[in-house]
Amino acid sequence: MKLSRRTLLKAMGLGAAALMSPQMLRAETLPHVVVVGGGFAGATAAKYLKMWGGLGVQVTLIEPNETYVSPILSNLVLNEQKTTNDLQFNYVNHSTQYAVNVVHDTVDDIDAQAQTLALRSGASMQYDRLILAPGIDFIDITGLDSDKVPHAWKAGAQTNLLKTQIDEMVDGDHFVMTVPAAPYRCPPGPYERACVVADFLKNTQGLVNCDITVLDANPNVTVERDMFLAQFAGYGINYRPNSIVQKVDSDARSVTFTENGGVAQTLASTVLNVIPNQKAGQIIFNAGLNVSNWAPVNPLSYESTVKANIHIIGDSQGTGQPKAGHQGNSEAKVCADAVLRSLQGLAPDPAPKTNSACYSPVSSTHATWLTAVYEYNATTQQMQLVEGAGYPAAEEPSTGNYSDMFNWSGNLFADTFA
Amino acid sequence: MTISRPFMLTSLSAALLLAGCGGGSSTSSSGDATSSAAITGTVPGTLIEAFCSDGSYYSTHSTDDGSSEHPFSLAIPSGLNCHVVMTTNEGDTANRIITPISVEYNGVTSALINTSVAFDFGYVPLLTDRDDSSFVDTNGDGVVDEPLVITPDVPVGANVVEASIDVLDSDNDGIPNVYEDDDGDGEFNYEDEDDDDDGIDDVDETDDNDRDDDGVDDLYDRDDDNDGISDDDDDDDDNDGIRDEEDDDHDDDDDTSSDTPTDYTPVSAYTLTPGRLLAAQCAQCHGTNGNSTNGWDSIAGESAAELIEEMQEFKSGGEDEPIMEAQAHGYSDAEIEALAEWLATQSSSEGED
Repeated sequence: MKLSRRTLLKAMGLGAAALMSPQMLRAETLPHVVVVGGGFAGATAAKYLKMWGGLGVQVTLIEPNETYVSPILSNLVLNEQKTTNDLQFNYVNHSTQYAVNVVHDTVDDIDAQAQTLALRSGASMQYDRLILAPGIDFIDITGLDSDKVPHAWKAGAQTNLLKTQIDEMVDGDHFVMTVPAAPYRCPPGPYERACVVADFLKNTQGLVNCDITVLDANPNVTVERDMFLAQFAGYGINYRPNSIVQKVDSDARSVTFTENGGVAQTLASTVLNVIPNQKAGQIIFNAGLNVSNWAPVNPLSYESTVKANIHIIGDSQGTGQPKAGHQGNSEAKVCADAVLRSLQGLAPDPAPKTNSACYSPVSSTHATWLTAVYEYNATTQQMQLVEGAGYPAAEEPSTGNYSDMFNWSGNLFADTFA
Repeated sequence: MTISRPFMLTSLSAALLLAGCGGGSSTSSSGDATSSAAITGTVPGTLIEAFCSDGSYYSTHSTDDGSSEHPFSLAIPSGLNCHVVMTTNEGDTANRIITPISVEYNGVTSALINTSVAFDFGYVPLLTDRDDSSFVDTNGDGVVDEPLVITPDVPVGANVVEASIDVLDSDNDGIPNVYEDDDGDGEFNYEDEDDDDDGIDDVDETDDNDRDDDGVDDLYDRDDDNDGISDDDDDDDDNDGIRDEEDDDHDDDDDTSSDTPTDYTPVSAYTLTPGRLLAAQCAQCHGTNGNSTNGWDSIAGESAAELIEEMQEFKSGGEDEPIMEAQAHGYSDAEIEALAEWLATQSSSEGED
């Protein structure tokens, strides 16, 4: 016999509600989407899943840290225009405004068959859809101890460590930084940093005789080439492309590298900033979701092409779109929409667009920008630059761009965390 | 495909455990919630009910410990939005007082609460006498006209949720749908076979948005007939004996009209106009739903025609705004129309600050 709740309530009266057996009242369970990682991609995904999915979906955001320091604008900590506190965000709005279940924990294991997660706290959690946004991890370099030679490529303590070291420089000292081989997080970021540090040393600190060397693993500046090369020339930055780091002496702050395939040479420095080559977050490898260093996904949904019901967004995904916060936010919305559709048995939007924009300071007063729009190519099944939209960038750094930079980042931060 | 699976979350499963000074209150719950969290409180002798956003229902009675403040405890699932309703004199239809509860916290007052931890309501001052001067019940159905607003200490992990779409309270008045009486006939909708008094049984209605009277709008109800079988798996959603594929008035797309039985119509919370996803790509720079938080333009609250004209201006290069020129080139005319039409539906927060 099927008993509807209405029949029961009518038969038994309201006062008898408490006597009803649980199974008779059992309702459908809401689909549960778990987002792992609270950076720009993950935080955006969790927010938009609830904003669009409303009460029809349960969303849990798992992020080990209660606060997040934005890598975006973090080079401005080095020249004292910002502090890491200024760039700090939390997940209170996710919890109070959007009813996201925020859990500060770490995912130790993913059982893709059972669709369960093992958390470090000992808890287990089931999911209907899993969205992974673990960001980047670094590829080891012999001798590199990032507590001594910071990468400052994940913002926070690393940023402040590099800032402290730069502050200790005196005139005539040598700042050396290395640029990782593409693809890496934030394409203009390393070049931006070289400019900001050069400006800070020479114009703010008055250390006009400091040397600045950029060892770039790439054959040339990867983005905004002419603009950055002109800035490097203006600052007297010694730019050395095709320079592949071999090893680091973290105590001596020296780096051994090959240049243009030549014999290894060692360069001494006063402050050494080694940004290692990058790969997807460790969880991608643990879960067997990687092909080589990144996680291949279908860019219509960001679902893994390796395992079903697991989506990867942000820096760990391997679509070839740039790895950056603005882009991760963009991907998160496409993913959230596709996940909500899939829970309704619907196909993803067949023609999603994503976009990227980045403002880069090159001093404490001037900034540049670049932007791009990506479209889905049904033949290659990949995202590509929209034809005709090009990949434009600011013609030259300006103070107007510098103030625009804070409007851009302000709305991006709010769209992600507020 | 909707995966139907109990929400199992061992260490996090929430329980709205309305627990007071101990004592064996009888609790019935429809879920698999594991109690690791609690809401505690005391009330006059009371039936406490929770209606949760997955359509599940929980209830308990407070325990008469001889005092005037009876403790109660009620388990609900973790992280789910729920309405709480408390009824005094529940066995006596003529005198019962049904009080939906709202919580005020951090400037937000809402009848939707969500907790994954212990949540102490404290003493809830329910009325027990309809002659009390503060009892306001215009239509005499025993349900107070306004929810009782309480201001307990809200612990970390518990929240008051302002939902734009509340499937349990379609008119957002804080009174859950189950305690609405649409036709004013003295029967609440959940008791009433004929919510609108038009002589047609609710289950046969095409204009009743909650045919099974479970308080969850059918558009969001994954089990329209409350037979325990998800609509996706249920060949006969309305339990009328006619298989969905042969049933003009019910189909798996939740569309109650008979002329589009084959197209899946998504529920409105999942409005899938292409414009929304495209417009969301403007939000990185122009703010969520087009409401900028700073000096950059808000793009909500403009007409579609205005937005289209501006985008076409950017595209033509006539505005000397290189970034917007580049962005405008990224979208086809049809896409610009779609996102503009969606943005035009968004309210602007300008003027509020």
